[in-house]
Amino acid sequence: MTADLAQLFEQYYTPLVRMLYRRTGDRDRAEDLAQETFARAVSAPPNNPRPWLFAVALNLVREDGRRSVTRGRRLELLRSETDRPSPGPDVEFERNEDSARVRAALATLNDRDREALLLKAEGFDYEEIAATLGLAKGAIGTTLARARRRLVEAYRAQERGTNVAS
Amino acid sequence: MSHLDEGTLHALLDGELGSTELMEIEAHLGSCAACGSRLRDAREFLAEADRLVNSVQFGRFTGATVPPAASAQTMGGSRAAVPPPPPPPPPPQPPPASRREEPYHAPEDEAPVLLIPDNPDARPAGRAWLRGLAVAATLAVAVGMGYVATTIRKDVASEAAPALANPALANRQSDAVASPAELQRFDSGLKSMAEGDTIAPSTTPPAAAKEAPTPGKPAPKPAAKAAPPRVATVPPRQLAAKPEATDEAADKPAKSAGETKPESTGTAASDTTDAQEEAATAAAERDAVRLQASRALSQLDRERRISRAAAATARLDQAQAELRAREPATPAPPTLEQRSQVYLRIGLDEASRQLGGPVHVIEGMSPVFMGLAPGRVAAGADTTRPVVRVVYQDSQGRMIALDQQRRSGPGGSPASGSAWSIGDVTVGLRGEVPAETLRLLRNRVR
Repeated sequence: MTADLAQLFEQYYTPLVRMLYRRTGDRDRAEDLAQETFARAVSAPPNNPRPWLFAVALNLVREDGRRSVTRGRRLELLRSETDRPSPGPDVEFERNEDSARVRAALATLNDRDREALLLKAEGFDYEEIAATLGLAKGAIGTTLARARRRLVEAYRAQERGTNVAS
Repeated sequence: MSHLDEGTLHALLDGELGSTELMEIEAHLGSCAACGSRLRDAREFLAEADRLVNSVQFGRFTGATVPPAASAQTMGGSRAAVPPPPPPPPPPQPPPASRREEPYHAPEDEAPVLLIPDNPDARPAGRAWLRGLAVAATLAVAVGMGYVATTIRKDVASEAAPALANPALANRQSDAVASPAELQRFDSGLKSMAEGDTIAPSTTPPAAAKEAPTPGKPAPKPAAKAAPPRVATVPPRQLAAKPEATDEAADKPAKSAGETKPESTGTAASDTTDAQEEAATAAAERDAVRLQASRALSQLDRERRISRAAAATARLDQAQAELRAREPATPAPPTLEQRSQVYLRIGLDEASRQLGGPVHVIEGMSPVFMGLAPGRVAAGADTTRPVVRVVYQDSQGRMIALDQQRRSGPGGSPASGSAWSIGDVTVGLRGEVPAETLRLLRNRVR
């Protein structure tokens, strides 16, 4: 069991944290949620680990989001990683600004579209996305199509807003 | 075949369609310019969306260390038509190359550590002999309890027989839960069971029973199993280095009872355990290899489908480009709106407001739309107001326009033969039909 978990950890920790970071925009929170996900995998070892881990992680994000709203905390979409060593102020600023725009565009999507998009970016095929999100496989193409279009439109709208403002 | 919806186009680009569907869609795309255009749009959205999502990186998860597109390839999902995400801007002082290659060892990051709240080693899952002992102990307890209960019942029955003859005594004894003699006999029965080592383990606190063997246990599977280089810095040592597990042990008293095995069977049991552990490890490794092989095969299959879809769509683009180059550039036929020269479509309410009264129509025909047009219907019309044009189309697709405009004053009158007055409105009829048809239609204007 321990060896299995070690293998799962090695295989899925990085993609899980990456997906959670894209989902939450908060690096520490993403790592905490990934840890919690693996802790749950210890108490209830999954048969099909990849969809299970990502589904649990996304559920934790939703629960955490609800708690955060209750406490009056806000998603730190525009927070820059100032406490980390940066390659350089200009590069870091541009990267953060662009990442913040993308995350803000992601935030305009509904949960299902956003999660399907993030899972696809982690290499999930349609069957795995359907299993993770509890959707029919036939609906994934439409969901992804809508998510991609809305993401691009929201991002372009922000870019236009930024250009006009500047 | 009907037009392809957006979801099907994205499934095609993601390589999620089967061979049969792919052939049908390929055939359709070869003959439908609208779907070909939508496919290009879908491809553009797909590539842009993937670029945006993959651009959200940080720290050790940057594209230089763990490129998402590459991870997507290895995980089983990929796209042929999607360009790889642009590399992140190079930092002014890049870290050494050897460190950048290690995804878990970026200079600013410590190695991720799996912090498990409970010690997974405390769970004897996979150890069949422990479970077997637990079942055996439970059965022994049940048999012992049954034996004691049967003995007590027999004694009570033999003592109750003479008492039943005396109703007063029977009533008195029925009020009591148990007589002193019965209690003494029950206690002696329990004592004999405890001496027989049958029920005693269950009286031991589970936590104490659980903790005893834990420190002496060898390191579990990860220590014995050859781990890849990265694993050594990640979780197994953390997992093995957590001896505290009293909470979980307290939750599982049955398992703790099973751990109090007899001393005489210790050596044989440990041999059996080693053999079973080896067999379980081998089985787990076989399963892992099978899983990897199946993933690799499915990825290969998906890549083939993607490349086929990409080739089909590439051929389509090329064929359409050639077709367009061969054909003379013919402008698209004007639409009905362009032919009717309407600059703004309006509804019935707005048309009535412009005319100051009801809109006139051709009886027996259904208008396609109404709109505003510049100009003047005929002399005497009020040119400060736009022409309200009701547009019809006959069975041959020819446009017919019924123009209406308020008159400038009560005295004016239309001079043209194709225009006339109805109340305060000047009405004109024109279109792409012969003059005779227009004359006939004029009689049906109401």
